[in-house]
Amino acid sequence: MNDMKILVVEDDRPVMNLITTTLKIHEYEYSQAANGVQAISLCSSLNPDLILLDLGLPDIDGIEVIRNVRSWSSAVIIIISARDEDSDKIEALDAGADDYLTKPFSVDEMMARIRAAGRRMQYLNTKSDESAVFVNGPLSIDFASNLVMVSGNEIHLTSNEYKLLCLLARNAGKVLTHTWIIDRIWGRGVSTDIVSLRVYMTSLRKKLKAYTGTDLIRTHIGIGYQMVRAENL
Amino acid sequence: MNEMRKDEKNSAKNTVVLLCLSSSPSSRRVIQAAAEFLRIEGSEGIAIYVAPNDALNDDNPRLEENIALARESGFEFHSLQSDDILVSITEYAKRISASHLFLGYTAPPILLQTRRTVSEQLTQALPNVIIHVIPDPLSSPVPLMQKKSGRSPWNIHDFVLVLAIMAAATFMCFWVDQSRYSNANIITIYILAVLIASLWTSHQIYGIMASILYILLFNFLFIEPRFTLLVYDPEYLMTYFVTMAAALITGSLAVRVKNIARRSAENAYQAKILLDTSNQLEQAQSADEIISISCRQLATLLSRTVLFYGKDEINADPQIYPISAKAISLGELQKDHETVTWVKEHRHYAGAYTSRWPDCQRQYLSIHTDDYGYGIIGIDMSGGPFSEFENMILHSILNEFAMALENERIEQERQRAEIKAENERMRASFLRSISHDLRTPLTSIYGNATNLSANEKYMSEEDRRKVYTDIRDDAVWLVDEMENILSVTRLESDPKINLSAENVEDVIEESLRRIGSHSGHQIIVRLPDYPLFALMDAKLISQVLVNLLSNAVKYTPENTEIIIAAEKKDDIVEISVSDQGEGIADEEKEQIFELFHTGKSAHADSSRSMGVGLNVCRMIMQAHGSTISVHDNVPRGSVFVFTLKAEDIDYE
Repeated sequence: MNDMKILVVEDDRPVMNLITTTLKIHEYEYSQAANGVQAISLCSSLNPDLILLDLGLPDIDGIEVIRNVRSWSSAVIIIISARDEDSDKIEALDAGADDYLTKPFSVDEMMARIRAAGRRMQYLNTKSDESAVFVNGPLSIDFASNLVMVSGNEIHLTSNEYKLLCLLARNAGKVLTHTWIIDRIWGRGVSTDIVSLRVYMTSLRKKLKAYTGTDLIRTHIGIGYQMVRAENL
Repeated sequence: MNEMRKDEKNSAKNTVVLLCLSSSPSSRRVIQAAAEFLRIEGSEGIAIYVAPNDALNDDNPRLEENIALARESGFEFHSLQSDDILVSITEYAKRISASHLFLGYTAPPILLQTRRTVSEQLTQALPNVIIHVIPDPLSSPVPLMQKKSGRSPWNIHDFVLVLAIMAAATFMCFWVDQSRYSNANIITIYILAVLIASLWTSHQIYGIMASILYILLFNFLFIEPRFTLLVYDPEYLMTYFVTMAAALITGSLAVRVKNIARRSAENAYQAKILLDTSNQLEQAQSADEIISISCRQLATLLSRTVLFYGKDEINADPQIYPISAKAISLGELQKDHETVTWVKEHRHYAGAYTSRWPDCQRQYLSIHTDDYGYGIIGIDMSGGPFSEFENMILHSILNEFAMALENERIEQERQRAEIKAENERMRASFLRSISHDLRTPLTSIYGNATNLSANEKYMSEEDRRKVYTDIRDDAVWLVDEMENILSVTRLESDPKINLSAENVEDVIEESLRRIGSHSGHQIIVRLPDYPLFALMDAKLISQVLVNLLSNAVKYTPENTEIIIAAEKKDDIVEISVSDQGEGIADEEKEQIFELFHTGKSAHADSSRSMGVGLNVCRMIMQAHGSTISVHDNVPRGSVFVFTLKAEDIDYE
């Protein structure tokens, strides 16, 4: 039995049926909302751990729901988008969503995202964000001494690469958009383009992969990057 | 400096040879030299002939021969009309960015050699053009300095005027002579008279005539021995010579002043006319308007009837812009057909007062730009040849005319391209929306099928049944949508439909069968008790009904009624589908028939749009020459209504 509380926000009845049936099979506790207003009110009364949110709602825009909920809740928000337009997803991620699913998605994929979110939640509950050492599989970062170890070997990173790695590690499991990363590494208003971010990212990943062989950083083409928990790989 | 180097580079890249033709026999040598050069070096050869504006007849066999030779040698031929040959050549050379210029040259008579030579003047005006001057040993007419073969300068009015002025001067001189003033005053008075005669008459010849008269009168009347032409004192010969020269020079100066004044007045007038024309042309909204403005302007300014043949209409009757009530018979115009065709093909001019078809009543000129012909203008020449000024106006307006048509054509092309791009955008958005619409049902089918195959044993009987229904419903939705897409594609590529008289009841039954059983709604069919036939494409009308019915089923609450009704009103059959749902807001009643209208949601990402269904309904009804509309149902819900032509069937 999973002790996560999930809120499903979806106005299309067959898709809602599909999601709830699947959650039922995997023994998750869930509640349903068919529109944005209902979603916000259920969020405040139930305080769910995870929200599966369809962006296209009959009453208010899904992005508005994210902004509203995110202002007071730290629940993991996974958006469901029918449009293959990156701009929608980026807007939703920047508004505070953690991850996204594009219709048509497979139920296995949906469950994998839900499980990953669950683990991330557990991790956040046990260790505070300010903890001195971050461990993700073979990777460990000692924030106090700026030491990055992969499978027991120390690796040397440039200042920007280290900042980038810390940013991804602190938000492990969350999809970070290009602009969000650039704003935090180089500061707002600096005209660093996505290409130079890609260059830093390429060299960082090369250094990390040298010892592990596995890639903990996942690229979301056109959207951004995400550090994946080793146990979810 | 830089500029010049750039120019040189350009001309080196693209050698343009400009050849100046004349009717001189030596022109042959010039053409041969230029042709040889063109063969070795050039990429483009252009030959020009500058005809004086008032040349009545350029029907010169030698010139024709030269033009033919130049054409054979690969030159493109253009004829210019201008009095100032040098300016025409330099301006033309600049316009086509000529790199080489070929012209014949005859040494001018010794008296004129003080002036700068032609090649010197050209070199100064065209510093970047290499000028090839081919000397002409034959004492032929100077090719570039053709004498004007103008009308006779003599006319009674000026002749009488000169006599009157000289007579008046003579009377004054008698008075001076009587009053014992010095003889020098007499000379001054005569010189003044010569000056006045030059100023007031139309040709320099009158100034000369006045000077001769002055010498004769002075000698005859005032020099001893009086009343003879004899001179005792040889000193007077010297006086005659000097004063004659003075009179001639002042006379020619006066003529020049007058010419300058006339020319500047003409220039001002011309500038005004052209400005007027181009202002009017700027206002023009269409090619037709441009044509009518230009032709009217030409007809008014030239006081001649103007005809216009469109580019592809030379076989049809022309547009006629008459200046007087004198009608031009169309039969007469038929005779000009050959001329018009030639002008169109050669983008040239022909007809009255030209070398080709000179016996024609009209002159025809082609309206064209470098790469596009727009039509032919015909001008009635019964009033005589064009004056120099008229010629200038004519060619300037024709130029404006062609430019305006060119701009219009380019604008048209731009608009066509825009419409095409808009269609492409529509198509792209159609495809994007379709793929968007397919995502949601596919998600449900995909996910439910996965759950059934992997986790069936964990699902309750009730859940399983629900999943089966969902899969079926979504599959049906996909099938309907696919049918609609196919219809859109079919109607777009071929809007013609197969109309036949069909039994309305059969079509409704077929549609009900297609949407399947819907236990949630009660579907009622209301038909008159007589057989109802209507002209339709049964397959398409059935699809309209399927779309309307499935929308009603989807968007209205369960346990409500859906009514399909058909009735005959005069010669039309009205078919309606009414529901008891929430109804449609007035402001949306038109929009719902638009492509991808998704109901109230402003967000285009709504889970499931109403698809292309209603848009297809409208397309199908349009193909039937009919419409579909939506109204409020009483007490609640909506009624969709469309009409078809009724067909009376005889039952034996």
